[in-house]
Amino acid sequence: MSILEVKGLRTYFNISGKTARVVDGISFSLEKGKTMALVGESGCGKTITSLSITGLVPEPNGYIAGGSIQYKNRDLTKLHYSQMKTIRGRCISMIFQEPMTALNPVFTIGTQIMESVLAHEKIPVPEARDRCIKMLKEVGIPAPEMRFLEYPHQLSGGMKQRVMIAIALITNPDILIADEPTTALDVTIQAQIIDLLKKMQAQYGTSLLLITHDLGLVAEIADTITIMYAGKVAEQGDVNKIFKNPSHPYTVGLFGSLPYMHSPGERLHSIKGVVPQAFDFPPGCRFRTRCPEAKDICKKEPDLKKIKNGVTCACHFRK
Amino acid sequence: MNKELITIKNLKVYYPKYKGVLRKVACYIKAVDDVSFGIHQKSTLGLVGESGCGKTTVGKTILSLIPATSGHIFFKDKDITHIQEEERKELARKIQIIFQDPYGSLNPKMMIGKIIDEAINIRYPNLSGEETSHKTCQILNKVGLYEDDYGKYPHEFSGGQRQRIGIARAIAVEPEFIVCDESVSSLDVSIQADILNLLKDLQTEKNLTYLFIAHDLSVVKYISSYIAVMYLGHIMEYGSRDVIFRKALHPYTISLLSAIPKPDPSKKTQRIILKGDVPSPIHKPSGCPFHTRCYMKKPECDRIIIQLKERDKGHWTACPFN
Repeated sequence: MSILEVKGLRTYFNISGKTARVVDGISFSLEKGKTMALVGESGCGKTITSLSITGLVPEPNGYIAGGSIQYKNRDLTKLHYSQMKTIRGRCISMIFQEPMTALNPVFTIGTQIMESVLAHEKIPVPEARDRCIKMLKEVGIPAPEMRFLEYPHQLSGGMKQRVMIAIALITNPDILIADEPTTALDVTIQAQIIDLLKKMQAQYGTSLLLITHDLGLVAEIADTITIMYAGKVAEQGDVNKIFKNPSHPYTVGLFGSLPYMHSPGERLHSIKGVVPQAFDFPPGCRFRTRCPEAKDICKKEPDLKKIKNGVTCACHFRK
Repeated sequence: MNKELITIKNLKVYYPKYKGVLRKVACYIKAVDDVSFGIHQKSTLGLVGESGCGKTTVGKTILSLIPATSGHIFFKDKDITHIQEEERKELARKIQIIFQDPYGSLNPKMMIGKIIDEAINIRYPNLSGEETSHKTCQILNKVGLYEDDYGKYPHEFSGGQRQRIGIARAIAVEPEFIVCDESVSSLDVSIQADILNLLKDLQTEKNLTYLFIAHDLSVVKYISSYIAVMYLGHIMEYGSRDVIFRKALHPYTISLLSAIPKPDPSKKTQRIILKGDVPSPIHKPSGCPFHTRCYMKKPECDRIIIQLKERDKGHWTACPFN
């Protein structure tokens, strides 16, 4: 059963008279209790997709130009700001890449995590406090009663990310959006956080939308994957199938450039050129300027269609 | 095997921490504590570790950007630990660095052609302006940029291109040794692959030696011939790439290797997850600095003095038990 259904989402930005089509017709669905990874290089629109879901697209330049986001029979794109407030943080929570900047430096950890509970539930403060301390303990913070009174600068990067996870999960949301949750952390701390996310997901049955460019992390925890390129879906489907047999030339290039897949003497495959600017995406297939297989037909836009092995792919040459 | 180009012996770098109005030295932060290793000519040494382990300090001390507290650094058997400013400039022709953030290390008001001209003039002070810019264009081509880029400013380039400019500037003085400090960490995978290929090509073509500082082990595995693993200012394990990746002995190396997320969903391996964070280098644990997080800790670990010992030929580890 899908809990979140994004259909043809288009989020545009108007900057000095020009329109940047940052997200241009993205569709995916997130199954209950499962993890979907949204993957792509910087500037492909993955963060804007997540901001569109939470209704945080920077105004007034940014706006949702079309499509729908269905959550429990409601279209989130149509909701008023005040209605969105009851969903954001309560039903859909987010954790960000930089735990250092996501926490307010002048408030204690306790105040910030309590805020999350008290904003959505009418419960007495002592009860909220107990719940917060219990939550801090669950995310693996030692001496939670003491940490509760401390300020963000007194915590290490890994600890701050744990606090962020606690803040996000304390309201027991249906969906957790994690935007590059481990990128800013060290390898051993990354492993701790990945482990924690998996544990919490199993315990609370939260659906996870993971936004990342780290394919290692995707292989580790995702069930399905959506690969984005220049605001569009390039390939979508089951993680095992796509990792075993990438179809879209962009996905092939992405996997080819991973040092992990190569023995040291081998040359890495790279994708030549750079991601085009959002103001002037090439018409037709947006990857054609960098694609090794590009032909004349690529000037026509490819449809996103199911191909042989059961994944969806937007390329004229994949049947 | 080639001769050692860089040899580091018992290097210590301590930063004083001041306190109070009189700025008295309260304590020392032992960023690098008794580190020794050598880098062979035309090879790449990967220096791995978590943030705060002192890997960047090692790189900067080799360039004499940070003074060494004690110990010695030899470049081609010449002691370069405490050299004067004049000599340092001389040395900068031989040793170069490529930084992590290519934007922060380029002057935003200078055309990139001029940035590279400057480096060429250091190597060839007697060239005319025309000859210099001709050479610059050659170097731009070499790193995958175009002659038209000569007159552009840093902000007109993408992250990967800026990193190419950083590389162009480093190779313009025709150095023998380059310190790459997290040079590909901030780039997207496809761009990262490009830069890694470029670094490898330049190494074969110009017989370069690299010290490759990074925290991404899959990148280090790809580019290095030797690997040194650092933790809180100490080298924990040293050996050739294959030895480290196949027969790691130190518990820290083993857990670091198991922590790499592998881009292969069919291989969901059981990983060793270390507890806690890296302790602060100000309050370093006694004995083996890793004992607070070690999953194989023995009671005596907080007392032992760790020393890098050779186990097999060319394979050094600081853990006496494993």
